[in-house]
Order: sequence, then C-alpha cells, then structure tokens
Amino acid sequence: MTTITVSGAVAGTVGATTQEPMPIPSAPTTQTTRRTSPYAVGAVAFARPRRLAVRRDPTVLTEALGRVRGLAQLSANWDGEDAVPIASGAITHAELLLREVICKYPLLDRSLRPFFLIGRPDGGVQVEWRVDSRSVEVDVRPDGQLSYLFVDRSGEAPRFHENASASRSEAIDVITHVAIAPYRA
Amino acid sequence: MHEDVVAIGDDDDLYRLIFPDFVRDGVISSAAYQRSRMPDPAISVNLARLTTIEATLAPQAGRGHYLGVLPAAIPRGLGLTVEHDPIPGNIAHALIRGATTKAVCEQLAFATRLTGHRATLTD
Repeated sequence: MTTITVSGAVAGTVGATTQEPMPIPSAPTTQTTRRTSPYAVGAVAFARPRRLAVRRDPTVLTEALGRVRGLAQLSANWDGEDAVPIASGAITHAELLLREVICKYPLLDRSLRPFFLIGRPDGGVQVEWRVDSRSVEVDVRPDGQLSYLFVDRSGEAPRFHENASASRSEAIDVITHVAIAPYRA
Repeated sequence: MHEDVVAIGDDDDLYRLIFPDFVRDGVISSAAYQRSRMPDPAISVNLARLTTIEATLAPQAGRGHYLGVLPAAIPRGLGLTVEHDPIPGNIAHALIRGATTKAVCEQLAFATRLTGHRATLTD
C-alpha cells in the first residue's frame, strides 16, 4: 500500500477500495504564525476538500417560471371569449426570455419581477415590467416571435416605442433599461 | 343603418369586460383591449346608458371578470371610431374600431377605470 504525504499530512491512500474524506491538513502553525486572512495560511490551504457550488435560480425567476407553467394549463376559451390554449412555442420562448434577462442581472432581480405575466387570447404570452413611470410589455407570440412596447410616462406627454418584431437581445435591452432606470443618477 | 342604432356622444360611457388576470393592483394591462393576433380592430364594449352593470357582467358569470368604464371621448381622441352595433340579445353592444397598435391599446387601458363591480366567481 502506498501512501501519499503532503506537507506531513496523510492526503489519501492509493489502492484502497474506499476513500475516506480527505483530512484537512494541519497548517504549519507555530506561536509566530497567526492568521490575519483566510488566504494567509499558504499553499496547504489548497489541500482542503472543495465543495461544488450548487447553482440556484433567483427566487424571482423561480416564481416567474412557475407562472409560465401555469399558463400552459389554460384550456380553450380560458377567457370566456374564445381564447385558444397557450402554445408550447410561446411557453418555451417566454421561459428562455425570463431566464436570460433575470440571470443576466441577478442583483436587479426584484426590479425584474414581472408585473404582469399573462396569457394572450391568441395563444401567446405577455410579460410586462413596470418600474416607476416606465413600463415595457413583451409579447411572445405562439411561434416564439417577440414584440415589445416601451412606455415612458415620466414626462408631460407619454412616450411610446413599439417594435413589432424584436430579437431577444433587443427585448432584453429594453427590459433592463426599464429595470435599471431607478438606479441611474 | 339599423333603426335602433343610436348616436354615441363623447360624454357617453362605455363598459368593457376585463379578464381577471389582466388586472393587478388596480392597473389594467393593455391585453384587456387585445384579442387575436394583435390589437383588436373591433373592440366590443357596451354603451352604458343602454344597459346595466349587472346585464354587462352576466355573460361572464362564474369567471370573475372586472368591469371597466371608458369615456367615448378617449378612443375618439386617439383617432378611433366608436359606433353603436346592437346585436341579438344585446341592444347596448358597441364597437371601438381602428385600434391597430399596442400603444393605442395601452392608452385605452390606461384611461379605463374599474367600476368596482365583478362577475361572480365559481370555485
């Protein structure tokens, strides 16, 4: 049996059928060595067992995706006026949009919580963000095509910008523009 | 023109039924004025003076629709037409014609006020 020793600590055993968790090597501490920083212990620190970081979706994203999945359950005539069920293409592209925009700016996740996340009678999905006097509503059509309407009511007269055929990156730009507005000087 | 058709004045109020999900915290989504692919080119409303709140809400009984009220002057100010269009069973039916953009639908929704009345909801 071969043992490997690192800095005087048993780091592992070659040939063993099971491996015990790697013991934390004792740092070469003496009375004169004091930790002033977690990085001050030197190279032996790298021998610590590393945990894999578990990636968690922001809460806002989890909520939004749950609402999108809820829309997928709507049956025909869900609005009482002959609306069609929400198309799977609209669901998929709405999820992609939400994932991308919320994960791109995780620190803005509260501002990026959709105000409206609703089905459209044509089988699409409409997502709307509102921050102060600005809003943007993005329509995800049944085939996944995006369009948006940006509204700014901060001035005397409202301003509108409508894009009937937008790319996802264009939609994300205008969404983040609305979300970031309160943080600008 | 049908003999029962009446002129709609700017000071007339129009009732619009609004699906519950299209209202949040008193705010009405532009979706309330959209139907199929894009903005509804002929938006169904009821002329308030020819009907009642109860009669307008009745077709959506059990669904919890809100009732919004919109002065006829608003769509006209946006360049739309408002005309009486009585249909069998609903003498108060009227149409707002010409809404072709989401921006127009947003302005209609923005100007619509909730009456505080809702259709009944079933469990």
